[in-house]
Amino acid sequence: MADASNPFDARRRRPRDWGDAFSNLPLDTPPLSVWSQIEARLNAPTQTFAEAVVMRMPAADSSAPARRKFSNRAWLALAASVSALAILPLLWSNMRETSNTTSPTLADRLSAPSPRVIVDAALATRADTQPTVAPRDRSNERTGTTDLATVAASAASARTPIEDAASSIETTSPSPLASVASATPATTNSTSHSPAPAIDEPSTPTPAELASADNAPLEKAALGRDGLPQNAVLIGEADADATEREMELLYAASAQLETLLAYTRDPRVETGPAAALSSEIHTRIAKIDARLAQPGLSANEQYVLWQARVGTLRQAVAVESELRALSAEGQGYEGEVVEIY
Amino acid sequence: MSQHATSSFAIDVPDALLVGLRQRDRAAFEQVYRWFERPVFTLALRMCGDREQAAEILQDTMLKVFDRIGDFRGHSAGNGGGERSPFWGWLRQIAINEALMALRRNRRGGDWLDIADGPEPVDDITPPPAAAADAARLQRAMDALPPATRAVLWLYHAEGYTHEEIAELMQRTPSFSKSQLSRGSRRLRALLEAESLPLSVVAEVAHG
Repeated sequence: MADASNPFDARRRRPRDWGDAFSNLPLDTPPLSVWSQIEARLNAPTQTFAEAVVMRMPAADSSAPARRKFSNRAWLALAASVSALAILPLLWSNMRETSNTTSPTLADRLSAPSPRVIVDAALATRADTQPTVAPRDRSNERTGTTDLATVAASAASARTPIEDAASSIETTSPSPLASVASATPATTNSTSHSPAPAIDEPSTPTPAELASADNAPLEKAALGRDGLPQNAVLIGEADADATEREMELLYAASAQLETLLAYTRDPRVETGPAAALSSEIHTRIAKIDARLAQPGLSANEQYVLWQARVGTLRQAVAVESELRALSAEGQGYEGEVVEIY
Repeated sequence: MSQHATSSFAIDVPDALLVGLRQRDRAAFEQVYRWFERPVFTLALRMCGDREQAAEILQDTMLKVFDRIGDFRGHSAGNGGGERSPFWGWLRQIAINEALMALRRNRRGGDWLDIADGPEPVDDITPPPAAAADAARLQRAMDALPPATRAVLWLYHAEGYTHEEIAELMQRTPSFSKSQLSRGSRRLRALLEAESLPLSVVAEVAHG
């Protein structure tokens, strides 16, 4: 009941009905960041997977509480990780189908056996020194550290061809792509995968060889003195169209992985070593970005750098996912995860 | 839909703007966003009671508008085109659907005033208390209602939806909508009248 003695009530017009009362309520103004969020999503290179993942992205100025709320649901981040791992191979195969009608492109060439990657080399090195975390035959191991080994194995085996492409250029062996680029005509009438271009099968180095050839930090192996992979794949000028398509796919994969990484990372479950590892990986990404920001990069250089970026982002997502999974299970193998990566 | 309520969405959009929107012109989209951001955000905020969630609903609504403008078969204004729906009605429908989806996702989204107890509700034709003229008080009282009840009240009173339309939107029966409206109005009245008590009495009530 209105308080007649209250001067505020006395001055106000009593609403005729509830509709009148509700319509007198002032309109609320949304945060300014909503429009920038919408613009960012409209400007995203692809709206397919990114849209599904970012669907619940909060407004920027309220991201902190939203992030906390989201972080409480670790399963959601893990589900997103699994989705990303499932989507990227499909994305890759789709690219192969679309690019197959003109010429055997990098997508075809990259499907050739690629040399072992630096990460595997690191895993193998750890296997030599720490048998309980060995990446080999880990599916049968049920030791005290089997959970960690299984997680590491799944992360290593779940790499997509995109990462293989990125990692193949990080090796010290001659890349098969270089020979294909010189041996394959620019345009062929090939319409299927069966007449695969004749390529020189690379001699796959063993993890031990790689480990012995590369005791330096990962980014030193991945990027040479000039910031590019030491055996960077040069792309023929005639492959410009195919390269452009593949660049688009790399942009999309990079954006998707960055989104996924933002949701996967949870500072609450990070310990010191884990935070240091995460920081290290982000430093690698920053170095690649710094190189990409330099003017005058050729298409080849950009392609190689973007490949490296996607590979590093995948690594970061794998690390964060594993840490979250281990944390959810109440296990603390951050040290081992840091050693593996 | 009842005509007694004038929705804040009722903004006639020029045909030229709709044409730009259909051509996926970014400037046209931004203009539409600027026109409707406050009605959409307010609707979402009233229904969900959470600014963060309301911002998400606004974002999703506008992206859907931009994405699905090709599906819109109505016209720009509300006074032409015969039976065809106006653009603002189409946009409002998207916003309401998004808000209701957000409510369903919420843990408390399905909460409403209990309809099992008490007599069959009757229409509350008594004018609301004078305290309802105080926006802050009314907003506080609304926030104290269960989300589903609040949504029914807002859709009926502020947006002018009928019980049948609300029932369809909320996948309930019309009697559910009527019941929530009646009980929600009574609760709202009680909350507002309690707030109108002298502060000393309110403090006594609040502390025991």
